[in-house]
Amino acid sequence: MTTLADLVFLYAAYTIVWAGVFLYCMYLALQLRGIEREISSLKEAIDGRGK
Amino acid sequence: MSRQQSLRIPVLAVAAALTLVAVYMALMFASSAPDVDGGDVQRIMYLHVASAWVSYVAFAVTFVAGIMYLRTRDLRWDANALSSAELGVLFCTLAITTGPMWAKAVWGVYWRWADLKLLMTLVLWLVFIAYLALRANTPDRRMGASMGAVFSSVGMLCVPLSFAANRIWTQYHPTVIGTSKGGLQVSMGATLGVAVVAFTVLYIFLMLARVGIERARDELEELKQKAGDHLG
Repeated sequence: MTTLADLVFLYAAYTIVWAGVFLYCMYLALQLRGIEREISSLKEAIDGRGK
Repeated sequence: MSRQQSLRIPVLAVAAALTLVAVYMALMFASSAPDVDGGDVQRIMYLHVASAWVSYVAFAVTFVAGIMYLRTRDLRWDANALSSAELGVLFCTLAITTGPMWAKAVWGVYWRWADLKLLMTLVLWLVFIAYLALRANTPDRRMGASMGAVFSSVGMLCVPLSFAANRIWTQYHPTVIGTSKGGLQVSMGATLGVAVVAFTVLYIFLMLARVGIERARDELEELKQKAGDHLG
């Protein structure tokens, strides 16, 4: 017999999984954005120096 | 756009679609099976087993990529090993946190230290956290890649032990696949199959994204050297 208290665990488990995957995707996106920003500023600096 | 980058969107679409189907099946389609431990709470199993499965796959990929790095000394293999280890730790964390949710509802406790399956999975998780710590604290990329490859071989030993522990030493952790006591009901088996495939595709997408970051990092290092030559 499933009680309401048990369903809280079901809800918590699903929330943990989706929050975990979502936060990891956010972390990857932020890392990539930081690296790309650094790459473009370095490219600009190299191009500026070359002209 | 590279071939790897162009693959990301279709893989993400398939992963998202399969994941939605898996969640629908897990919550609506699969039998609630009141005779199974926990009634509706056993629906946690679909996420828990799929997460654990992906973590085993990810650690196996880390091991194989590490061996390939040692053979070829090609840093692209190391990028795959490092990315897969990070994802393995993510999915192992999800398996380790969802398991106790079911355990508390069914066993009345979150964790049983006497259960070897739980213990081996915890050891596996800690070994690969140590792998990531080792990689993060080794400034020399090639040195870190070699040490990581050796370290992941040790970690790989824990994967079959974690997988087989409940089959060898029958304790508290239930065995849902390959048990002599009878398998899952059809709807439960189908749902578990879809969940495992969905999580595997999700892993492939995350791998493509994570390896893309390693490539971008390599490009940044090259540019820094170039900038050093130009500006210094």
